[in-house]
Amino acid sequence: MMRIAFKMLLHDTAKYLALVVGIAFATLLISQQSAIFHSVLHSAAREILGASEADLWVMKRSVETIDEPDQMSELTVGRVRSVAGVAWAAPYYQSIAQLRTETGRTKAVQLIGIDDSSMTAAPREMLLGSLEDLARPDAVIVDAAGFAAIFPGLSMQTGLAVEIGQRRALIVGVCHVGSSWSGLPRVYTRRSLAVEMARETVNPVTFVLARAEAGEDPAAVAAAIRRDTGLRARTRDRFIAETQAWILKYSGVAENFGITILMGVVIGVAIVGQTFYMFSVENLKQFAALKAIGFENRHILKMIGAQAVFVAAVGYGLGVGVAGLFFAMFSPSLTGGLRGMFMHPVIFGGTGVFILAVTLTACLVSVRKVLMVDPALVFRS
Amino acid sequence: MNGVMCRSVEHVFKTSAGPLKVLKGVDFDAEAGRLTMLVGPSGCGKTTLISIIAGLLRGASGTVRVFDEDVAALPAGRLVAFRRRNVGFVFQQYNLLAGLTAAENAAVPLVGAGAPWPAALDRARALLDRIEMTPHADKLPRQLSGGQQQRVAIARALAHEPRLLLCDEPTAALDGKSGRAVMALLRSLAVRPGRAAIVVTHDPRVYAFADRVAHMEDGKLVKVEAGQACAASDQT
Repeated sequence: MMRIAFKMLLHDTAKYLALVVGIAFATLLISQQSAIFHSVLHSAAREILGASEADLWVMKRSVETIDEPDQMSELTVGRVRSVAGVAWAAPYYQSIAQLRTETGRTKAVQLIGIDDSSMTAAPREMLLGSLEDLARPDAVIVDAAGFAAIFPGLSMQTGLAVEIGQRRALIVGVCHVGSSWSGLPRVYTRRSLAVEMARETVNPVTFVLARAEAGEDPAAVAAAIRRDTGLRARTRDRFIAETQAWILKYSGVAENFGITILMGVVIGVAIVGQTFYMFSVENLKQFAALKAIGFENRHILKMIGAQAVFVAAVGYGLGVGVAGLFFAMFSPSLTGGLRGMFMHPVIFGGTGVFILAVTLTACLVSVRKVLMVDPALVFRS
Repeated sequence: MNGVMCRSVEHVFKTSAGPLKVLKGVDFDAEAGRLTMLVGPSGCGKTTLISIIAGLLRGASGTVRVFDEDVAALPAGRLVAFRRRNVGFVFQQYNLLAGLTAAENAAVPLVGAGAPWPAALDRARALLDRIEMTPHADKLPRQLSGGQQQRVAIARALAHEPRLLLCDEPTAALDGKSGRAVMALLRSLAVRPGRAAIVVTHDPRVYAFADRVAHMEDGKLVKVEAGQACAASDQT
């Protein structure tokens, strides 16, 4: 019976291709845009995700996201360390600074000052040089995409001197990190050097990174820090969520991606629904003949259901394959804007479930006509 | 032995212009082992009557028994199963499935009855061989002539050895020569002891293939005569 269903489906090549292409296109739009949207949100919290050794972030009460740091006294680090349940705490500094190359080219960069001694929140994937080189005088590490933006056309290399905030800096390493929300080149250095480059008059920190002692609940320790210091303390996961929520609320990115994803949904429903409906209506007489011959509605339902699942599977496979190819091509790039973007398994599976639901719904709408068809129709010429 | 027995069958269609009585108390018999033709002008109720006999059209009054089964009284589920087991159809427009080859089309009723695909296909090929369609067994309907398509439709109708064969204008879409060839084939295959065959037609060229010809006019059965006699009178 299934063989009959598939032969009926595949025989009408034009409609079969329209169905498959429609589903593939909808799958591509939905999965690719959802994955980029998810990756953009991921990139918004890139620095928090990168500092995976810290499960607590402490900041001024006014700070809501990683991208709006406010200065606190260096003494804050000691205050956090003294809270019961805190295993360790390290200073972290972040600001925007002006970089100038020897040729006079200027570029705004995101300056990240990591703890001089513990190197907490240091980049993990070095392409050139090593983290130890940061101990050298004036040493900075630049991310690969940033290097390409600062030195267009120049191959990746170390040993280049630049000026950051009117202070000499020497590029001792190049690292690979995923794209960030701001898109600015990232320059990592020791915090003590970073505050000099930012021309700070005091010796500030913008965040204190900490870790709860083994066996302690980070949320409870965060509450203790808030209570004892009067500062804002967040667990890593909550700070990621708050940063992403802020982006969703104020950037309009959700609306933009939402419209595209909605387009995928509409295209999927419209093309699949209409084509499946036309397919069923044009085969009405053939279905009527099957019913006259003695096929029951449940047989017909099975046949149309199998056709729907088949086209959904083929269309989804194609669509998600193209989306996967897209990420396979662009994601590994060290310098491209889509570097580090990926398709989360939930998006992969969720799109499949959605596409199957749309196709089955379209099939249910059209199958109604088939189930209602009068088998006596076959006697009408 | 009576294959089909209809008594006082009446049927009314609801139309926009009001109720339309298309059958007005029809008494009709089709004996097993014989080919009965149901003839008459368009709109006289022939197709309605065979639709009721097949159980495709319900709501008629009177008695319709097919091999002693009261089809009007059968619940919908059992009626479909009854039709699947006992009735074969040949349609005017063939109604072959476009994506299936001739052999696969002929195998459809067997598959519907639960036969495994390879066995159904073997049986269908054997049938096609009997009607000299083996060279065309793997062709799609669009690759066949009208006469060839109707031969495949006949093979499909008989594949599951039904006790009742219902043919609706099987020669209407064919030229005279093809029509006669199809009727000859139909007669040679369909007329069997224990099987009743009813052919609806208004093609007088094929009356001679019938054992009995039942004439309908305006929703009533007006005359029944022997096929040869009918053909002869039509010639004159």
